[in-house]
Amino acid sequence: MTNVSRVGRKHAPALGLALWLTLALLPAAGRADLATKAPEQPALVALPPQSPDVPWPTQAWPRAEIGPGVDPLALESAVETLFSWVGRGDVPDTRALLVIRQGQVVFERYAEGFGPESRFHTWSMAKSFTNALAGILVERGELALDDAARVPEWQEPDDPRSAVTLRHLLNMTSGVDNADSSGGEPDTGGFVASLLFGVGATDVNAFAADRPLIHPPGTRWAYSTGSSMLVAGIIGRAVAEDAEGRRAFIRSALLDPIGARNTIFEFDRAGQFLGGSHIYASARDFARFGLLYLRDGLWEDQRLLPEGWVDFSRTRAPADNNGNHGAHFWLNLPPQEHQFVLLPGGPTSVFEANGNAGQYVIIVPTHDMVIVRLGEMHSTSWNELNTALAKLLEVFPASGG
Amino acid sequence: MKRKWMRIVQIVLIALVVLGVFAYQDLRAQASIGAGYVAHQVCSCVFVAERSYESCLPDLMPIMSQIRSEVVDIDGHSGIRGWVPFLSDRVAVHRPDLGCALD
Repeated sequence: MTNVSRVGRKHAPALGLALWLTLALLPAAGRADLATKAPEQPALVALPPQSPDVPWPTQAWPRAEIGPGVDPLALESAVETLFSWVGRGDVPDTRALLVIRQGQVVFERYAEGFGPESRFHTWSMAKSFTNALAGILVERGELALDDAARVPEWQEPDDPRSAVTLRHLLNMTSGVDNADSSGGEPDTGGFVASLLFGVGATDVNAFAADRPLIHPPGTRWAYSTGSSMLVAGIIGRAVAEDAEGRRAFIRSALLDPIGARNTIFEFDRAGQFLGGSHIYASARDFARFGLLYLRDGLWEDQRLLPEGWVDFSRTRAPADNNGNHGAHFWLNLPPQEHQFVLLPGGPTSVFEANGNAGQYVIIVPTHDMVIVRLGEMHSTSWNELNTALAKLLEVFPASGG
Repeated sequence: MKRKWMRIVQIVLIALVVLGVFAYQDLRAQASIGAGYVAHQVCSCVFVAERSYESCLPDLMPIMSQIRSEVVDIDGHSGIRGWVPFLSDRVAVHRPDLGCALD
């Protein structure tokens, strides 16, 4: 290290770090009421098209009044609840709340110190962005869901991991021992902590790949940031040789077409984007991303995601121990072990990107809505947040209602 | 009798040393993750989210917020150093448009 100039510091050592980190990164693991087998997923609800009278938000978000059928007092009460939890630093845990209805902003509020230009951390919502980039390459014919996952370390014919496909990785059913709660090396309390911030952080792909198969691919679900990193690596290697080239692809293929100009992907030292955990974006860009999925992968006159890709993303991954994970998106279906209830009492058609510390992009086909909630979870809990967001959604009538 | 006690003391001391080595290695690994977490998260908060260093610290998990950190300049690149004295020292460096990366 050279040329080090000091500007500020905090003090004192800390122990038991990795265990804390692992528990914090797992999105509400173990909060589900357990069921032996998940019930059948209801038929997918049709995704609402963009009204020809509403401009796409590629340049700027159109705005509209909340409209008839919404009780302003009920809305105020739901919003106040979300902003009522004040965390460390005397800042509300909810830093941004954005409601999109029928393609238009009907509500937008930020905590003091934050605004429309503020960038927020995705945490695991990054996985859903990685899903989009995989879809774009499938649409272009450069990747196929049921081809062997192009992980260089798995390509020997006698390597059992050569049976793992891109579909398995997106469904988190690869069977590879790289789930967030796996032991990992060194034994510091969890694989994901080592992957993101420990010995794996300089080359997340190599670290996530260097694990054995412990279940036949496609048979067991396990939440795996490592799998998302591997998908990001497959995408990165398919499009460019280095981080600059990969960044250019992400911009031209996904971010620029939807007008997400305030979104930054982070890359590791090996030049791969951290597609399982580290993207920063404004609330309005997150809403653009949600709208892309609400509109079935269409944007203006362009199909960005293959036909059927959003349905694949919001269809429950086929594994007996999976209740409500699709393909890098969560579904409002009964959870299984190590999963959680999304919006209690909300429509089963809801699907969402979800990240540590209460990051949400909630897509509601029945209401033609996207809800973005960003911030921290210093003084609240997943259950409280989920319930408050369900109350917010209840304020709005379903489309046509 | 004295030789027997000496033998027991020797075994206990060896066991304590072995346990100490394992405990130290585990402590170092945990400190490395903690220092890496602080370095990366504060780096991204300051240079990607463009918030003040001071405003970023309360967002760290409470147990992590006690790890030392400072803004550094490394060969013209801004970054954040996170460290636990005698155990671990990590740096995350910011590169424009590519975010922060741990060394």
